[in-house]
Amino acid sequence: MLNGPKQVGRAYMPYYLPTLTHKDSFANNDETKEDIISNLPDSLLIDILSLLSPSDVKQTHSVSKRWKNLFAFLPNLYFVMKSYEKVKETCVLVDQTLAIRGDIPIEKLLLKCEKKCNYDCFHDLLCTLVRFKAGVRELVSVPWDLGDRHEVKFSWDLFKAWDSLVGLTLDGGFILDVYDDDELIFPCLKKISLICIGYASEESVVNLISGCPVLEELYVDIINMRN
Amino acid sequence: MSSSSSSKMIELRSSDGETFHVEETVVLQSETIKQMIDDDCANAAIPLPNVTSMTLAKVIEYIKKHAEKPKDDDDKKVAEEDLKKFDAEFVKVDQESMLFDLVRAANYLNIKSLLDLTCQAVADSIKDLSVEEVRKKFNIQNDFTPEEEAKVRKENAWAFD
Repeated sequence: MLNGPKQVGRAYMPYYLPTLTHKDSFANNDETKEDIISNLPDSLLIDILSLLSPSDVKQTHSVSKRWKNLFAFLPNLYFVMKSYEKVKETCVLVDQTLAIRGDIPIEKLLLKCEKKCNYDCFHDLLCTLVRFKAGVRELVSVPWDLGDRHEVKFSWDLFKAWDSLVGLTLDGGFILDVYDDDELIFPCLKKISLICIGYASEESVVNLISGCPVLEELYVDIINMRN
Repeated sequence: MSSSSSSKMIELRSSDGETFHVEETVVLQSETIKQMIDDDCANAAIPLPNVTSMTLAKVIEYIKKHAEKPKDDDDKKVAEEDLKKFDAEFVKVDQESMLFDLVRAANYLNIKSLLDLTCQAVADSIKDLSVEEVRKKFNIQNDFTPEEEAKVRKENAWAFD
């Protein structure tokens, strides 16, 4: 099939002509095809990409430079530190992502740390989020912890400036440390889940709750509570 | 159809100059056109320079179907099912480009339900594809250098496995 027209072309036309026509028609096809998605404005492409599941997001973020950048603008961001060695890399990625994103609010942010996490780095990551004043509505944080020695302090000091937060889930190697201070307040925080975390003092939970004037839902898993 | 004679008709003109007459009650699903009607700008044919006649015909098919009102509650359930089936069939277009034309048109005309439907259809078509398959499907040029690509692919901190 493919050889047929080529031979006919060569027989009747100068050598270069059919080749050019052939190439041109292909180039045009490519262009039309490419226009399909590249003509969509960023906002529409983000709408489409935000409908993908996290695993599909992972699959497609390396499609092209434009796609990679667009992923920084998705309503939900998921970051997972795979190993101790990858922590620095993840922190850089979070930094870059937030820098690209600017002040666009984040609907849900998940930070997860798998085995052997570097907890200092994880704490730095939380500080980065606060520094960027990321308008996070829901934070799910899971620094996994096998031993009991290294834990991330989730302290009031760090988060007192974070007034966008509506939902907060802490799971794993956190130590909740909230002291009694009238000035410290989460004005929008409605839902708190504390799962398998440690507590710096008995008052920490009480202090946390009294800092949440609009709290609607509190889930505390005390079965696996340390301390 | 006989009742349509009593409703005011609005004239829409596509980018390639074709005109379409649609009942005002139907066309109000487009926030963009609704605004034009509210602003009294719909006395002559409304030009839609971003929408081709082929796409506009599809959009009108959609809003007409979605404007049908069930008579009673029993009818309502049947109509809902019917609408679901219609939507599922509606996004099964022969050419991929038509789906994107519909996304753009729904965005321009500001018809939220159609935008949601078409965006979901595009997302569904990306689902479960590998990076190479996505590039091939939409003919997206890979503008990473091999080194950059290897680095980006290693950035697996984005999501769950």
